[in-house]
Amino acid sequence: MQSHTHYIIRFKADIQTRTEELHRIREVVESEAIRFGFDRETAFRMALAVDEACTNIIKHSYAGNPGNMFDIEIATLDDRFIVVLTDRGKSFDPNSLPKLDMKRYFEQCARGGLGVHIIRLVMDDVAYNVTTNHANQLRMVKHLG
Amino acid sequence: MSQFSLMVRESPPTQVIDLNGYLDAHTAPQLESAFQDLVNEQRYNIIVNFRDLVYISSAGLGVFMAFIEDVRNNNGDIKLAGMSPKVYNVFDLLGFPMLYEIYEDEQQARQKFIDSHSIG
Repeated sequence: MQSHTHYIIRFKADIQTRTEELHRIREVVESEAIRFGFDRETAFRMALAVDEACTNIIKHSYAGNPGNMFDIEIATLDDRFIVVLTDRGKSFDPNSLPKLDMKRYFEQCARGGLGVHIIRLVMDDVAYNVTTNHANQLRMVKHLG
Repeated sequence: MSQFSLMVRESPPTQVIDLNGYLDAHTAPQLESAFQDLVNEQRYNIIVNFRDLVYISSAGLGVFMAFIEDVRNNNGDIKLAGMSPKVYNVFDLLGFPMLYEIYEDEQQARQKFIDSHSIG
């Protein structure tokens, strides 16, 4: 545990609330995750989880309105790969959604909610809070190994 | 940059949708529109060929959920074929193999349609 004991910011950017941006975000997450030591399969899933979280911000927090920005920060600390998304759109706590029962989901041919389900399946910790200056912050953590 | 494209072609008794590239919230509306056209034309034997698809997110999975009930209520099906291990893993992660038939390749999926028609 000697090499990553400091909080190191690996990537930080303001992202436009447009779905065109998803491709670039996935590429950054996947390559940073691989660089940190995750295998390709896990890195692919982490990029998927972050895609889902960003999609929810673009589609729901900002209702698909492309004229806004949100912030992504990728950092590492010890064995943790941390992705923090900050937006100023409509608040939505993914942890407020009940756990999906996929068997029931299929029986009802339901729609929606799959993104949050993926985030929970892939990431180890998912925390949501509204900051003192009214920004929504989603913090997703994946432990290496 | 073109991240995604699709093509719809006939392979009697089925319609095949060939997917290429990245299927996410940005590109899923194209697939939704292709499905809507097929359903409007009452073509319900649908194979989705994933051979050239490299990525799928829940926005893409949602399109299959949106049409499966309607298609099956009309004695059709949406059968999936030719997925790379990466793409299959996303389906598997969510348990989609419970609801959808997934085949190695398009020919197997097509044969399944032919068999089910000759029986039923």
